[in-house]
Amino acid sequence: MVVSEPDLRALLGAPALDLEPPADLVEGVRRGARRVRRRRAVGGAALGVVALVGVVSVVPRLGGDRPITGQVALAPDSRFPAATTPIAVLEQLNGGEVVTYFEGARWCTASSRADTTTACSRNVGAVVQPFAFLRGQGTESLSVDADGLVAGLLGDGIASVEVELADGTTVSAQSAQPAGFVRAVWWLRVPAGGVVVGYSARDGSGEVVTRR
Amino acid sequence: MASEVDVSFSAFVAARSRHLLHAAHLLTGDRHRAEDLLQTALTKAYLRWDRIDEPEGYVRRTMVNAHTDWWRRKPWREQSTDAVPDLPAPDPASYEVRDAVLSALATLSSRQRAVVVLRYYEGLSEAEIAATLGCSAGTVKSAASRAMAKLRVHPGLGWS
Repeated sequence: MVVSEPDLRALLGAPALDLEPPADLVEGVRRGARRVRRRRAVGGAALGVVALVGVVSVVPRLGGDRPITGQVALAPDSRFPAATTPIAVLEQLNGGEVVTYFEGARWCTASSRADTTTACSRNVGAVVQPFAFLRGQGTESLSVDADGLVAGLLGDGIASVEVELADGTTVSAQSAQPAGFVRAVWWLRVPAGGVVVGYSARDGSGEVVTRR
Repeated sequence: MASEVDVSFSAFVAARSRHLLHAAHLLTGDRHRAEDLLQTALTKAYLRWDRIDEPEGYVRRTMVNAHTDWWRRKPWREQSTDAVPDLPAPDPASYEVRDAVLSALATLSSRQRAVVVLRYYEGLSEAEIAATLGCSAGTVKSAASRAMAKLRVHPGLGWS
């Protein structure tokens, strides 16, 4: 049968895909807006403090009597004292969380609940082959109980990664490159009972570049 | 007393939230993520409501971008509920349609999926989709073509 665009339009607009908007949607939006405004207010105040500290730090240097040691300030996290980037939360799982960060050029992941399990890679070089940095299903630093993620670093020329499951489905992984990260990270929470059987890497035009 | 912004915003939500939530459902394939996506986009819109010329376009664009935006999809931002609303039992055939469409869309990359939703659900032109996604019309065209090629062979849609 030839694909018809009207058929696709009808399918995408099918009532079966309708959802009832939450009754408190507007109130939820207002609550969210209040939170954003509070965060902005706090952020503005913090920026003022930083600016003040900056002025206080620079003044003695301008006077020539004290050198400045330039360290980027990070929110401290005692679980990951060697982190050189912010700690990015990938997922919250069963009361714990799975995070990622960099220690210099080493990519690290960690699962943390009562205990924290951390794993860091070798140094990430200037050139990264697709799937050169991949943490598969069952990796301790990506799991809490039986639930877990698969994750990796996007290689050169790779815009997105898809994860193939044993039941035949293919799921697009999320990806992001938080500030300070040497490379963009991709990750996917494996559905309950799901078994990962492969990965596909696509370039910016959506073409599959390589599989693993 | 409700402000002019509140009145106008509430009217927009009442009129368009069902359509936008449907689009979010197609983008995410998941009810809870769809609700979260819509709420995130509406919150951004609400914060600058008096400066937006075309609210629906703004919310749509925000949803598409937020869908692939890591920080807005962090789990701690997701809303969950213990209370499951009472819903009428749907026709089993409607389950089949929903599952077939969502499983077919799940085979697409996020860009292909956005292009399909914007083109065939929202009815946007290639130029409008390109503006929404921040890419060229050629990229939209090739993404749509690849997406259609995948959908054609998806067994759930019965087109093969």
